[in-house]
Amino acid sequence: MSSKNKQRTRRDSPKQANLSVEALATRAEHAIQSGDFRSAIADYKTLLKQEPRADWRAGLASAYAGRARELSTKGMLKEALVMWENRAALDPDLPMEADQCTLLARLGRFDALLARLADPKTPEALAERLRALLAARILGDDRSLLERIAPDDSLRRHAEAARESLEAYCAGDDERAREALSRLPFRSAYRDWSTILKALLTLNETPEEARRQLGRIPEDSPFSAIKASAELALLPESVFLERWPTLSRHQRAFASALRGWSPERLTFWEGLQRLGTPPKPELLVRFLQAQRKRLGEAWTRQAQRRILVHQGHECASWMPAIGSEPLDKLELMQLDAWDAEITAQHPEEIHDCWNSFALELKINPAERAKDPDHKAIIALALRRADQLFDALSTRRTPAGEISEIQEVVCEGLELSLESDPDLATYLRLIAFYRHAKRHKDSRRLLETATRHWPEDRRVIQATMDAALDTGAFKKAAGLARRLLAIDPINTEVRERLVAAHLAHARKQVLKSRLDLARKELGAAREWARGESAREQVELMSAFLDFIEDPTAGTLSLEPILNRLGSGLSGRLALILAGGELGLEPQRILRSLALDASIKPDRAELLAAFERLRRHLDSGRGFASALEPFLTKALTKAPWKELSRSELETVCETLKRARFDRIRGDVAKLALKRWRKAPIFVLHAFESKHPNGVLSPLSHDIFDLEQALETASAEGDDRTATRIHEALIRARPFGFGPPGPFGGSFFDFDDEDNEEDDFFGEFGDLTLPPGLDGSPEQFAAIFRLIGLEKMLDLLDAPLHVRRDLREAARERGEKAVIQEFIELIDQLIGASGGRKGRSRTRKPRR
Amino acid sequence: MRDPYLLLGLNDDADDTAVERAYRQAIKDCPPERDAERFQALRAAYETLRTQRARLSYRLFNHSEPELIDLLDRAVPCGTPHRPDPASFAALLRGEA
Repeated sequence: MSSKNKQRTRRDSPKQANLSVEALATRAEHAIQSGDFRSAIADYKTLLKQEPRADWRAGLASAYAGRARELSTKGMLKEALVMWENRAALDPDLPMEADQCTLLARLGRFDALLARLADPKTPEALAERLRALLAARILGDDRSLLERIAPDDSLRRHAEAARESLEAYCAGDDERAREALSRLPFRSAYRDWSTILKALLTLNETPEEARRQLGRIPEDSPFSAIKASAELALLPESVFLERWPTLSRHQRAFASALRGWSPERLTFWEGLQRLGTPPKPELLVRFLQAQRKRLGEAWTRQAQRRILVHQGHECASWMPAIGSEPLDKLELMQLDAWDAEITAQHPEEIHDCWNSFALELKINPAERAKDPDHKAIIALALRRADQLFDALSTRRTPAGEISEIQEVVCEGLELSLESDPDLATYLRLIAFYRHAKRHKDSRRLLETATRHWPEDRRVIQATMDAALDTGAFKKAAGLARRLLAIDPINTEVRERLVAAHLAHARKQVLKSRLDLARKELGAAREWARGESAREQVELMSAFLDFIEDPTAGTLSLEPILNRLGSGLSGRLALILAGGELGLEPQRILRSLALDASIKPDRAELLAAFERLRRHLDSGRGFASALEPFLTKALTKAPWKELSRSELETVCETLKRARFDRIRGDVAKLALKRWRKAPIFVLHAFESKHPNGVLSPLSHDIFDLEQALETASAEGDDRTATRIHEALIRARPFGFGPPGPFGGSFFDFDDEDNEEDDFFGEFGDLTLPPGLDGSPEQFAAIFRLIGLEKMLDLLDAPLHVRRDLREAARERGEKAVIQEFIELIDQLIGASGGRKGRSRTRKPRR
Repeated sequence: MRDPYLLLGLNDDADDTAVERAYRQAIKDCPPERDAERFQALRAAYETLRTQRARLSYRLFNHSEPELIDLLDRAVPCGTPHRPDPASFAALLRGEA
């Protein structure tokens, strides 16, 4: 008895001694049910010593069978056989179980199996199982067994056909294989073999059918090893390779033959497997070096770099160590750039790396000579930062703004066009410059693009858009006509053309040239197809009548009003269209005998905001009198009938229109229904403080910070980001949370190590002696570095930059800096003062 | 990411026409309704190599570690499937390790 069993016996004995017979029997039953066969065997043995009851003996037999299966699964075949023998010793009449037969076959104990088969008392089901086991063995070339089977037994009679089918298949004689299979009846012991071989014969032509046939073979079939190996041939190559380590030698050989693997492929793969799972990088680099003839020299070197980049810088030294040429300067620079892409925190770092790479390629004639595509490669490297970060995204950049990194990216892209004039890059830069309102730059690039691609639709469209930006409506209309000549069903251009004619007509109205305005209107009418375009044309036509003769104009407006309805939405349509021609809302409403006060229902309210949203989408402006009109018209609006999402949409529309007062009122009403809902807290805050909050102790800031926490906790990332940005905008001078590229200007926690970095920001700036960071000394620094550097240094938000630049244009830079310094002094005083030397900045990384 | 050249069965110096032809042949052999996953992979490979700029981009910016299956396919491509020999069958049926 093993020490394990001895320990168990010692441990269990006292418990057994204390248990009654009934309790012990119950425990033994439970042990069998829970799969604890060892305990069950011990308990039943104890019970049988006390009384040889038949049910306990049966229980012990079940426990032995369970334990035997358990041991077989673990691969302890001989131990399992002992269990089966113990079971048989309990009662010689106990029928042999299928698993016992399988185990005997696995151990090669065929005598016992043959004896059972010959025994007439063997049940038919067991005999069938025995035949299947012996059939697999006979087919596996154990022909000596055949001699020991009765000549009239089907197992012996079908053996020849089965063998012939196997040999014919291996020899590639499919016809003979099928013919031999046809001689095997359905009830043959070789039935599973027959199914497997049929699947193998169709494996390449109809893999799905083969898979289905293989699926019919039970897992405990004596032929299941072939089935499993054949199924390996149907797996995708990557899955097969993943399974490789778990396969036996014979399974690998069998499946790889079916997959078309040559012995060389097998050897190569086994070589790779010896490098470890996953392979050790250094060994893999060495292996590639050894196989470079097969893999191709250039490809091998590229692959080696792709391994090295993930292993850190020092790995570049592996190359000479494995007998390869060391990495040259350009390869090392590419490695650095890849490394930056993997590890860098800021786009600037990646941009710098690729920029250096492009520069090196540009100035190094030896490197250029190596690659005929060097010009395109230079261009691609210069475009990489924008490609990775979408740096020139117009969606994420406020109109009219351009950040430092965007300046750098634009410079890189423009430089790339010198090496490789690429239309997509031209169009991207043009779109960005238009968005940033750098019209001169966009025109410059458009001129070059037009020279390269004079008839390209996208270039013409970009030129048209640029013309519209600058109010050159006549030119835009001409370009739109050119576009429609190329692409007559271009709805978008048609709409833009109508919009251009209408905009030109408005321009003429404002110049009091109604004749020219009517001409433009006629052109717009000619192209107007959609409902919205026709409505705009009709409205403008009626308003032109109104301007010429109010009475006649009123008659023209009335049918339009009837069609639009006299509710809020219809009135808004009239006021928006009239406002663009300089007509006051009151005058329009009075002439149509309409009152400004109105009680819209839910549908009217939503329709009006939908109309306002569409108007804003078209980029057209509106009269300043619109806000007072809406304020009055919405006094009795049924806000409570709107859902949360509808109210959110209303607030967003009001935000775009900059109707902060109405937006604030709607947000407050919404907050009564959805208390502290982050999105409405944000709208309430933004509408109350459109220009930021000067006091960092404001309760509104506190509420907004709480809303940020709530939004983050609720997983509403979009609102959380918006609140975060609002907090930064609201607290312009460094009291807010860190921005996306660095901390706030004043960081009072890091008092001991930031000063050098702070002064390092000034480059070659020499500070006057005796400076220690007091407000006066900051004033001196600001005067020295000028407004722009000061704003950069402070990470000032965009609207502050805009306002200060405007003020500098009006009052001079020095005056603005002085005012700004005074403002900081006031702020520091208001917040109780700061510790003198702690005003240092975290470096931008 | 699998090597797009190997997926489409292309040489390293393949041009636009060769890429287009290989892609068309590949999707003819393996249409999306037969194996959607493989079709996606073929499509991605085609997009990666479609133009000269795209191919240079792949060469310049792809820093993913090479996959072992790519090394294998590149060094010793798969051949025509063949039949296992009777000894392989016998070994499996005998349960040999």
